[in-house]
Amino acid sequence: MQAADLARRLGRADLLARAALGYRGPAEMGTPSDPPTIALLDEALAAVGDAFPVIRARLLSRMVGTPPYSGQHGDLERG
Amino acid sequence: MSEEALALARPSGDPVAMRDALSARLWASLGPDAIDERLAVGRELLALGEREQSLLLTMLAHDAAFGAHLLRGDLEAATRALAAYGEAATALKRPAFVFLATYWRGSLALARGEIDAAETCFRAALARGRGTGPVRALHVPPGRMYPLRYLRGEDDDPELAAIFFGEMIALPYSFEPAIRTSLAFVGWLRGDRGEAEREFERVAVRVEQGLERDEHWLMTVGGLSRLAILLGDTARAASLYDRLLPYADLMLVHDQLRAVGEPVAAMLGALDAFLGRFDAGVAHYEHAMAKATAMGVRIALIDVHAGYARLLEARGDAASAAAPRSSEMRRPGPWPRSASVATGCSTRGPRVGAHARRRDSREAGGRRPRRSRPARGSSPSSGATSAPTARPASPPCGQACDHANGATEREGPAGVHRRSGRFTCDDVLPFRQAAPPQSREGLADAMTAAPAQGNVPEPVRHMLAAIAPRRIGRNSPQIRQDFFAARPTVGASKGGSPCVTT
Repeated sequence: MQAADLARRLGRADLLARAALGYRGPAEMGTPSDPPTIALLDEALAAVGDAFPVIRARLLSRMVGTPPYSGQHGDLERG
Repeated sequence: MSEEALALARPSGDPVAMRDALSARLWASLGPDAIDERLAVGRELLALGEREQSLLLTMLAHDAAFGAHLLRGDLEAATRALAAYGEAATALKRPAFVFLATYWRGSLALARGEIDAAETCFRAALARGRGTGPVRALHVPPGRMYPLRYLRGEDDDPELAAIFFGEMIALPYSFEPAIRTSLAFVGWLRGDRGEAEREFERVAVRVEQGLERDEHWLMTVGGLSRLAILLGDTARAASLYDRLLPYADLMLVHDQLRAVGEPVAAMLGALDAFLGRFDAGVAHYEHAMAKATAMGVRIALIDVHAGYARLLEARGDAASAAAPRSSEMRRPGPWPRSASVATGCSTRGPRVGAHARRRDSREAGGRRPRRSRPARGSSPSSGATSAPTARPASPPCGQACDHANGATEREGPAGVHRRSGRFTCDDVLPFRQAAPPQSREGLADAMTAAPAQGNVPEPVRHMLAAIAPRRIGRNSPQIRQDFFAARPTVGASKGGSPCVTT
């Protein structure tokens, strides 16, 4: 959230999107819904518009949520 | 949303965007309408996984294939896909995926009619998932034990009912439409027609209003079709028939639980029979029998035979009615057990002896003995069915059970699982008191006999005489009601329920 605040202050949609992607992994099936995450993703999507297609693709994918794998991709790939 | 994501990611060639978008597309393609696309997504994931040296993507690809093959009724291909998924899950060493692989093995075993193996895998999945896996790990395996118990013709179990109907419906990602349909069916089995009608109505209305054809839809509409017949709702039966018809070549599968029912064609045949369209019904049942036989899904096959027999009886073809069922009954036991299946991850070992004793007892007219639950902390071999033997090197689910690692507690929402050792490997549930094989046809029993109580055609009645009496529903229907009244909202707040792992 701190990163998102900084991105907002800087007016950087791409950084806001990255903050949204890094904020929290998508919900695993059975996890309670998380309005703050959804709100941040929505805000980032609106901010990036069509300017950053790759980031937009990732935001959209995150919005869809891909339980049970979502949120674990990054960890696994880094591992 | 996922389509747009993939359309944006594809031209970019960005592997991370492609990974995310394909994963999203895979999720969005669950259900009966996008099977080809799901397989294509799987192939693309496989290629991307090879390019990126990503075992995770490879595993996702096999997940895609597993579900698609199950829906199509290709059990062999589904089994291969699941084996590949399991290998990848094991290599990744991620409990969530190992849990899924183990649990899905149980689903496949249940589809094949290997009830003991299914139980073993569900127990192992529970052990794997406890505290390390996804949220559903604590709910789904015990929940699936409820219908398993039903298939064995055993008594209703309020705690399992609470899990199956309460917790699984309450999960934020809800299996609600499909589970509620089951709730209606069990209400009917319990003799509570009012409850059956209420729950049926709640879901049927939503289907008519366009319930999304997602991973729940096929199993939900299949279950509603069964209920429409049982409740005598011809209008709804006709409507549901039209909705199912485009999927006549698929299997009734819950596309996340990977619970396999009968061929859709069998349900269409049943609806045909109910609606008096016998010739169409015969065609559907013939198709269903061929499919179920080819697949080797024995529980479904018995159900198909029972339904087909009822159709033929209703058509007045008594001589033919006995044929399909008796051909199945002539097999050397619908669910032959093997020592490896019987032992699984339990220290109790094969139950062949116990089975034989119970069978002898039954044949002698005796009641099936109830197993006394060992006291907490007592030796697992202290139960009435104990027959300690060496544990097999390779349980049928392919996973070693960690019951011996101190995982003996299962906390749940307050008031629901106070007996916290209940879901350990050795003493999870009283399923060790398995019925003898000839009594495991509760499904055929309930589906065939009960809707026409007092009016069962004689040949069918004769066939049913060999089947154990339907037992589910003897316990208090009040239990479920009490559970719903007392149940806290699962996962409603962070740190609220110890069952929720975030």
